[in-house]
Amino acid sequence: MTGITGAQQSLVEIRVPNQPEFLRVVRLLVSGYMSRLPFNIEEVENVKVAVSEACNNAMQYAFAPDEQGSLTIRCWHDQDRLAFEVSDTGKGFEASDGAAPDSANDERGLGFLLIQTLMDDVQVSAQPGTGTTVTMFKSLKG
Amino acid sequence: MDLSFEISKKDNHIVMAVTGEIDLYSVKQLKESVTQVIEQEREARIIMDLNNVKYIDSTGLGILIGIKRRCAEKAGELSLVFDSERIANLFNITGLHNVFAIYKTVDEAAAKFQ
Repeated sequence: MTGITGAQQSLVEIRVPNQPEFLRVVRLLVSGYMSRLPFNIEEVENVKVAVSEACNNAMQYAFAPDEQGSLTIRCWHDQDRLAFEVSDTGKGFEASDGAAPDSANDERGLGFLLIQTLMDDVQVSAQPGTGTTVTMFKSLKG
Repeated sequence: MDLSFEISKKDNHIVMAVTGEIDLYSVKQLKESVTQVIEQEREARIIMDLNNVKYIDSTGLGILIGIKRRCAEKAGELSLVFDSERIANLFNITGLHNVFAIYKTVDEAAAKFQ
């Protein structure tokens, strides 16, 4: 849990298998969690897309074909920001190896473009062998 | 996979109405269904009605690009129909609003094929 201090009391965490059939469960988590907070429907839908795209990337690229793994989705907030964090147990990558999702030229880049546009702040941390963590923030309006 | 399709054949085009959520899980079903339709046509002029699609992700957008390409290969065209600002926003962010012919109603899209 990074980027928001004093938010431990609001932390919710789920773990899902790296199977696309669980994407809807993740989206239900997003809408359920955000329903407690002062966001409108469009904002909730945008965060659903962003978090689901982060899970898409993990499910498609973090694991070898047919490898069983899991994703952990954590969400928390303080008075200023809401955070969703998607961590996988996959292979991870080094920023210099070209595997970072920084291109809009393929589907992975398309997904990351959506994440960056729909969220206020995005942080990616990854190391070979330890998986990837994408943390996405959305400001809470006063 | 929770997607459903209603396919109706008109004089010179096919209307394919999709209902459900298009994501990494269901996108294969969409691809297979549209491919079946395209393969049966000499000229693949397809209007895809997305007005009952509640959610679409980047894999869905990617498949639509592939379908458009396949239609063009069969001397046809893919037109999209949706009136959702939410979905329109995703097309705008990704620049795909410049790639597809997009209409608000099936009638508007069909008029182009007349």
